[in-house]
Amino acid sequence: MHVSKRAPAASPHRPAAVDRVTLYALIATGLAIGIERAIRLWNRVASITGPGPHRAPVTPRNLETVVQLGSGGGTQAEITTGTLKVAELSGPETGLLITQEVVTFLAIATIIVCLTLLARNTIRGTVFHRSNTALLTGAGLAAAAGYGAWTFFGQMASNEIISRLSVARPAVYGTSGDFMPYFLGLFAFGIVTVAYAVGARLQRETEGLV
Amino acid sequence: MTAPSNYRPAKADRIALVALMLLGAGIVVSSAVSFVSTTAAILGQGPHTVTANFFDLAGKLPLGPGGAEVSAGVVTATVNIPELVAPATGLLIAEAAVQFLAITTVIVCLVLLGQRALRGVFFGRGNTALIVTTGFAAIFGYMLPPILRQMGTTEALLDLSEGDFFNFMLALNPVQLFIAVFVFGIIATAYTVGSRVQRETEGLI
Repeated sequence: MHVSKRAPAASPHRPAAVDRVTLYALIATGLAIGIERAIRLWNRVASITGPGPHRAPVTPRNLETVVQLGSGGGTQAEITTGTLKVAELSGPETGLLITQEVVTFLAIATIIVCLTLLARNTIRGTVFHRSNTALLTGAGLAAAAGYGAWTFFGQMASNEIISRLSVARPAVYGTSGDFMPYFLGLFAFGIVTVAYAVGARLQRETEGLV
Repeated sequence: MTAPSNYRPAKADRIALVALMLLGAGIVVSSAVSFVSTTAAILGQGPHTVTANFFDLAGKLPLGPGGAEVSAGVVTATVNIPELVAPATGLLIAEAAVQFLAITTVIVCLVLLGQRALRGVFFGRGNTALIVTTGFAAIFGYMLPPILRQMGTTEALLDLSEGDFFNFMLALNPVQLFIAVFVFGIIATAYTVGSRVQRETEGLI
């Protein structure tokens, strides 16, 4: 029988019924998330490329203004995120906003596909395998890329809009960069992936003993 | 508790695990410093800078040519509050504490998981429990602090506006929760299945 490294053969140690049901339910959840994200992507792209006015998110820096709190006097505030209503989006703004949506969707879809394949392998009793380690690594990298793309392209689009409206006033350009989620993600996925990689090696080495 | 196996990970894996554990320790230290400094700032003398979320609060932003004002919806802004009322103080400290506790729980669980892997223990009920705890801590740590912050800033802004501005909104995207459940569910179930397979095959080796 041909056994591919990419598609591990079914193991005699299939999970218990309760685990299989849990995994099928999680796969269904993943599918539902994928469909919801695809519909959202479609709507967002249609809205971005459609006729104006458009509501565009902006993340400025050092932008102080007075905000009105209730009917009383206003208070000084530094705006960190806002929504601007613009008559139309320029070419670069449209491109950046669509890229932000598409790359983020692709990242989420990659995570869902990788973990669905991991669940399928687990259902078949193949818990440790090189392909599982690769799938987990793929999911982790996709998560990092998706988070990075969302903040990077969003910030680029925001800067473009601010630049166009203010006729290039770089003092209020934003720079986004909270690296803590990266470190946390790297740590969590790193530990789990190393455990998988070591487990796969352990299984390969002990297979001859069984 | 699962007994340590005779297997020891390869040198490269041990180095990777130790490096990740050091990274984890660094994250905990950084979170602790952030928690202490945030708490000290909240309890200290005013004015206090709080970050508030608004539901597209109508405002004028000086983003036009030469600083001309344009209409905008304010989503988040940092506001200086001269004096924080007690409920706001408590809620903002609770936000920082929950965040710190969640990060620490996640790191400690994963460090223990890494430590067990270094001893050759990859599966076992203990490992599954650690993964499940990590998942719950991550989900609570992600979902709860924004709610506490919103409650705290609502109190602070209500006091600042002398009871005239009640700004409470919760922007919670359930899809993010489902994604977290999906990711941790699949990994935790894989660990559960692995434990069972290991128990079943132990007698064969």
